Amino acid sequence: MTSNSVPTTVDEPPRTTPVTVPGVGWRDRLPVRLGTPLVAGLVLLAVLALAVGPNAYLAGIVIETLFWITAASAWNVLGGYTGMLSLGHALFIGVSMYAVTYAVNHGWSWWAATPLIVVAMTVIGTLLLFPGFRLRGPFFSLATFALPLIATTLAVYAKGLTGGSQGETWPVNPSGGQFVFVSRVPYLLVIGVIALVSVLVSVFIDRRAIGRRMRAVADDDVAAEAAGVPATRTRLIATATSIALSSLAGCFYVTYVAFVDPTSAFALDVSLKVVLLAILGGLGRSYGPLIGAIILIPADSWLAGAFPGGVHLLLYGALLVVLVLFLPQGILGGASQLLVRLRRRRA
Amino acid sequence: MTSPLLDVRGLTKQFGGVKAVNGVDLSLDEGEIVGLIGPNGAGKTTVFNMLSGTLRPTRGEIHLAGREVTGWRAHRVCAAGMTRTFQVVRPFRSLSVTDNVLVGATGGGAAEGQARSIAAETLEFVGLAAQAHRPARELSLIDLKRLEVARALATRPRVLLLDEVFAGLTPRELPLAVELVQAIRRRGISLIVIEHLMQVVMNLSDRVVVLNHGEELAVGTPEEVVENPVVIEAYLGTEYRDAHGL
Amino acid sequence: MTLLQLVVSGVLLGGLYALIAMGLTLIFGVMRLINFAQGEFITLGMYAAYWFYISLGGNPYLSMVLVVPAALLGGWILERTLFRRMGSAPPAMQMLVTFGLSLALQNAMLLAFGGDYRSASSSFAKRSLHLGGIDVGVGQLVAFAASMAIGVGLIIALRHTRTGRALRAVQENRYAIQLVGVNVERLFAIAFAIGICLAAVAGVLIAPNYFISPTVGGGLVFTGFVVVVLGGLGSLGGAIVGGMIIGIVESLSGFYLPGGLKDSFSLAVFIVVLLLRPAGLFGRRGAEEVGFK
Repeated sequence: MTSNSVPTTVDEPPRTTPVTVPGVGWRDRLPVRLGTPLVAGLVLLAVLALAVGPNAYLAGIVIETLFWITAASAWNVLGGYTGMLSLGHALFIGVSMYAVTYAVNHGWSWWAATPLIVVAMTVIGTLLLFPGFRLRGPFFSLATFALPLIATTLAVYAKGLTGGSQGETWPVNPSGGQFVFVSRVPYLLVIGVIALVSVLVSVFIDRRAIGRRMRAVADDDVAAEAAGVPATRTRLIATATSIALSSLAGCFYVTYVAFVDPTSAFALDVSLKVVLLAILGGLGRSYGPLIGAIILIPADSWLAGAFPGGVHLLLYGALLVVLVLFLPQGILGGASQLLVRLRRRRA
Repeated sequence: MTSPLLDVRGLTKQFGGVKAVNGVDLSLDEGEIVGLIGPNGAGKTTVFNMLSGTLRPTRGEIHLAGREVTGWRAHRVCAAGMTRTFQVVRPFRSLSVTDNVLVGATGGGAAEGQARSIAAETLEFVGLAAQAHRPARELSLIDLKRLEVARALATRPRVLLLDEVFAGLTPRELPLAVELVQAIRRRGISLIVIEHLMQVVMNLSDRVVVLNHGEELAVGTPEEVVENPVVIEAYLGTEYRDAHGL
Repeated sequence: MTLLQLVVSGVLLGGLYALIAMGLTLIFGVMRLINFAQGEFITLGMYAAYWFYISLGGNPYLSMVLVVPAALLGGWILERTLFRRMGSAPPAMQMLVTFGLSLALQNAMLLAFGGDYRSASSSFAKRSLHLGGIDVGVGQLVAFAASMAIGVGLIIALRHTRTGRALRAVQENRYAIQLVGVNVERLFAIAFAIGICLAAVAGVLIAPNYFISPTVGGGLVFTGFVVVVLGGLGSLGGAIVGGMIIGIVESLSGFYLPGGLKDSFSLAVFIVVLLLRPAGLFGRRGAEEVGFK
């Protein structure tokens, strides 16, 4: 694209005005820096691992939360920033769970298999969604909704690879290579780093041209193209990023739950939860899924324990309705609106 | 003799059996403003859609600065130096005013740092600097039109296609908009302007192209076109006279 | 099993799919809303028929006298309370509301009725006719005949009544019709109420032939989406033809394909149609790409 750009002598706007004009705030002049969230995240993670590591129950909740931060952040790149509301993200998590289980049960090390699976899943998944790029709004959602349903029946059918409806289990004897540990700390650290990466990816997207381009494509792809945004390439980048992070989340999750079967891997519950967490925190906001997961996942663990059965799904459904109706911008969006209103009142 | 900046030959668009645009020739010289007029449904916006790469032409050729850009996707045409605004404003509603313009600036090929100064300068130029941090969805119509122009300008085009930027403006806002277009030309940008308001188009344009039923009816200076009996019959005779009480 | 028998079973099944799809497609056509919660109203219809049969000892079909007005009223109220509030939200967000509603209703029914399979199989519906070597269940035949009658009646009503014509006009152009002074909000409520009612009626009609559980409607409604996409979103005639096609495809694939793959077959058909001809067989092209702005 830069090779196509016209010589700037003709059309370069005259530089009479200073670079910063009144009305451009400090955030616009801020250089892109991921250092602060990176350091803060690592410190927080180390403290967390030391604090809850010995307590299996608390560690479990933290691990779950970190996993959902990753999965929801991954979804948010596609559904939040780029406006492609996938209702089938369980597919990428589930297939990765199966693939890494198969690899480890056939003598691979988790550490070697995971990067390969993430790359393969990203390529295959992006190719799979690519024909759907021309479907807009609800049509894209319907198509993605069908994908995990198909995967479920195929997983039940392909017994040789997947163990059929019985599913497959993870090795049980402690082994660093196969990611089987007695202590919770390694799990906490690994998913913590993965979650940190996923949030940093969102922060990076948020602060760079690519994030604006994703939002522009989500708002109006025709206008975006006219303004020089390669819409298809932008969608490809969003799709690949989203799938890669989802796949990474899946590769980790199965080491922790140590089991994968068709109904849990491709559950509607999973596809829905990533959407819900992102909307709860704030759709298309870099810290939205993080906030959503920190609030909802611990509450969910408690609910699932306190009321077995469908109560938590009933509440999810109701929460989704209430959120979209009354807080469509999520907690972060609502908070920032409130701040703006307060500031205006004071001014 | 150098070839014109924009050279369009035999541009045709067929939808099913209907030829929305049929064999239109157009040229635009460096620094020129060409008015594109015609009754509703004459195919003006379809011509813009094809020039900007939003629609693929059925037939015909588009040359921009000596390079053939026929059938290119809009983002490539934009990077090659031609972009457009939309008749109905299409801001990125979830972005701030600055971010809208930044999308255009990086879309035109600028790196982030350079894009920021381009955006700030462009907003100043169109008179939106004070609104820079508001969400685009909160702007008034005239400001949305300004934003539409700013986003296109930020791509640093050589050719800018303006699709009815004056429609819906109040009589008091009109001179401001006319002044804006003239200021754009002074920056060395060549323009094709679709416009319904005859006084505006006659004032602004160096040449006028009249479309009717997708075909080119007449080309000439504003004076020539207004006096052309075929044009008066087909276009000015009905709509213009009715609409303007002439 | 002869081929003819499979085709006849497929057509009977297809009539039911057509009825379910008509409700979806009416709501979509008028309101541009993809209603995931439609399946739960099928399920509610089934439970109503079951309750009518078990508690009152009546013929399950007679529960219509209660179900139809209740569903119309429920649909009307739901439209006024939930969907009217989000008129300007993007279609995808509106769809998320129906998704949430679906989940909430399904699990509320699970809590209220339990997960056990129930059956409202009356002796009348269980009977089966033998016609020229083909077995036809009376229950299926009733469901098919009623579906077709409702479908044809609905198409006629849309063509020849004032409200029907207004509904069709809204499908064509919801902005233009507001200009000519038609109360579009009222039409939305009517379309939604009729759509919900069609789902509940479908539930009553199949109650004698299906095992009833809280999740059964969700599965059926997905087949409904397949039919709607195949027939063309917004097209009632397309829903009928699409229903027949999917019914026959399911009946044949259920016989010729291994059991595990049967379910994914119509889903695969769905995705292929969505990608190759997203406007369906009878729908207008373009909506899926424009996303109806």
